[in-house]
Amino acid sequence: MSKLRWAPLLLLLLPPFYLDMFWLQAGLFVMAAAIGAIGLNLLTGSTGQLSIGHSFFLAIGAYGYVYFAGESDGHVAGLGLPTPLAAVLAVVLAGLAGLAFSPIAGRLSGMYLGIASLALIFVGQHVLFNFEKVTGGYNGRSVEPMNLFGFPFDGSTDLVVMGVPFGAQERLWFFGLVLLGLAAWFAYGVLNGRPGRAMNLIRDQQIAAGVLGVPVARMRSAVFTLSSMYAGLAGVLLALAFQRAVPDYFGVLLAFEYLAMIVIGGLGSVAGAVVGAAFVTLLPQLLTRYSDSLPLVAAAGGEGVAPSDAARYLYGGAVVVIVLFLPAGLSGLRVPFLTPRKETTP
Amino acid sequence: MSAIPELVVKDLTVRFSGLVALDSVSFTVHPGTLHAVIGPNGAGKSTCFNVLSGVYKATSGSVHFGRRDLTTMSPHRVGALGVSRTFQNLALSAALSVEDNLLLGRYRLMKTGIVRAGLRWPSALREERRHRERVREIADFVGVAHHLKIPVGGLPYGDQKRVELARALCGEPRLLMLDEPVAGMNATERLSMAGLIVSVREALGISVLLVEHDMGMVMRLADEVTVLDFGKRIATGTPAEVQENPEVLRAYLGEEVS
Repeated sequence: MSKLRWAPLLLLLLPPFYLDMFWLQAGLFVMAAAIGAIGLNLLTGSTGQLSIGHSFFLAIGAYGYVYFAGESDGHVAGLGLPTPLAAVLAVVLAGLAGLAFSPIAGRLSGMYLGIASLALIFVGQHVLFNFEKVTGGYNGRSVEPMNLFGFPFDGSTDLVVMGVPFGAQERLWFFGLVLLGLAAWFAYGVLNGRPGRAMNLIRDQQIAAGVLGVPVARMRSAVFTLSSMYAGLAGVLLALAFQRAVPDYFGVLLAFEYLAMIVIGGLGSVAGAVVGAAFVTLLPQLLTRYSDSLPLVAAAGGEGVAPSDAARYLYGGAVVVIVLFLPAGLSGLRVPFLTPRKETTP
Repeated sequence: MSAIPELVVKDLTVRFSGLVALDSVSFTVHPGTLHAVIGPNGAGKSTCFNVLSGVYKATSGSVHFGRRDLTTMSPHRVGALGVSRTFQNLALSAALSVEDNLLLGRYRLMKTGIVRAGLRWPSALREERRHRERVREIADFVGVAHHLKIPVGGLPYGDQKRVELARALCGEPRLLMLDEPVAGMNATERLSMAGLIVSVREALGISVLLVEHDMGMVMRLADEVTVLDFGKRIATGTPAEVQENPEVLRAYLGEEVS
């Protein structure tokens, strides 16, 4: 029985065969956001450490990848490394950036860390706009497609699977699924093991955690670093899905969207992070797509509330409703196949 | 298990800016005995506990456990010497199951870090299994084994107190410090908790330091009693001696109006 509970997830293999570009692209954004949200949930949901700097580490992952993998030309510099290596290095780089912040991440608790981490965003935005050699400045720069052992994740070679031509989105779909699967699997292992218990106790009873032998500051730093690496990986996948990295995207709004994801999905739960990521990422896309048939939402260039604003109102409202009525988030609703074996949240 | 060292508290003073919470208090917990620290509210009992477990730093004086000096150690290093404590107001993680809370008591006996836990390294799985077995034994001993899978927050108060004690025992302590283990319990729960403390001593032979308000319980269980009042030690002795001590009577009952 317990083996079968994950079986519905196999349905996720189907979309590339049936859905069009728009949905596949949206799905890729969800996967990338889900990886980032799992990382943030380890830090904020399970360890009780607020971070409003998550988009900074996403940016490091994304730009780390484009810099390591990209080629130099007249405008931008790049190392031209093999793309898988570039992706790994980008994740490591995000981890190192998290580690560099760990003297602060270890000492400050909860809210205070949140405020300190907000500074990262402003530093990040400044660097992204001005370090044009690496980031391409305001207009960003294009992203080198992933090429795994000679298999390119773009439309450059013809590939037809069961009568469906596999372009960039179809191929990336499976790449993203594997990354998300590994990220979730690793997070479950951490949460259900010795470190996860310690993280929960730091959140719930910090003094008791110290007395029981948990090195509180070191643990907080380690989790902050880990969550930065998740953000880095999410950044890499985002860059690959977007095919262009633009500095503007990695601002303070994105950081708050990630917080909205974990609150809506369920604090401290891996499945919750994934559900929340889907909710927050898909909502604006759906509203844009169906704006002409929805009341109050403006079509592109029309009168009314812009779809992205409407989406923000909606998930702002969702956060309030969930905090009031569903403290365990959407994943607390017990959808059978999305409910993990063990919840670590109230 | 290695021999139980004695705990020597010498001239311990703790000041919070102007307030003197402890004023050169000294006592010794002899190996394998149950030593109670009693006193009216605000006497400094909990402060004393917090210094012994490394949560507060002493202003002056010293605490030695055998040859080790605990005075300036951080809480997790004190724990590593085999000193476990419970908290007066429950300090359990309410969302975690009883089993996970007890496993936290064994945190310092385990090694698995983030990477090995995330990758389900064979050594991590083996360690987890081994410690879960020991946790079950301890839960059996304390009488909470049937709750193992339930989130602690869902248990009645008396059971949560037992889980606290079980968690402290999970650290395989040589000195067990109990901060008001029966506070807020009803008579039946008190009786069974007292019985439990007696059986812990008999089964494990460890030293116990007890802070408690319930006089009846202290007098029945303790080998030796230290009485604090306004941060000062006013008496030490067997329960019978302390009960006769006029200073103690005055501290508890007030001065007779003549």
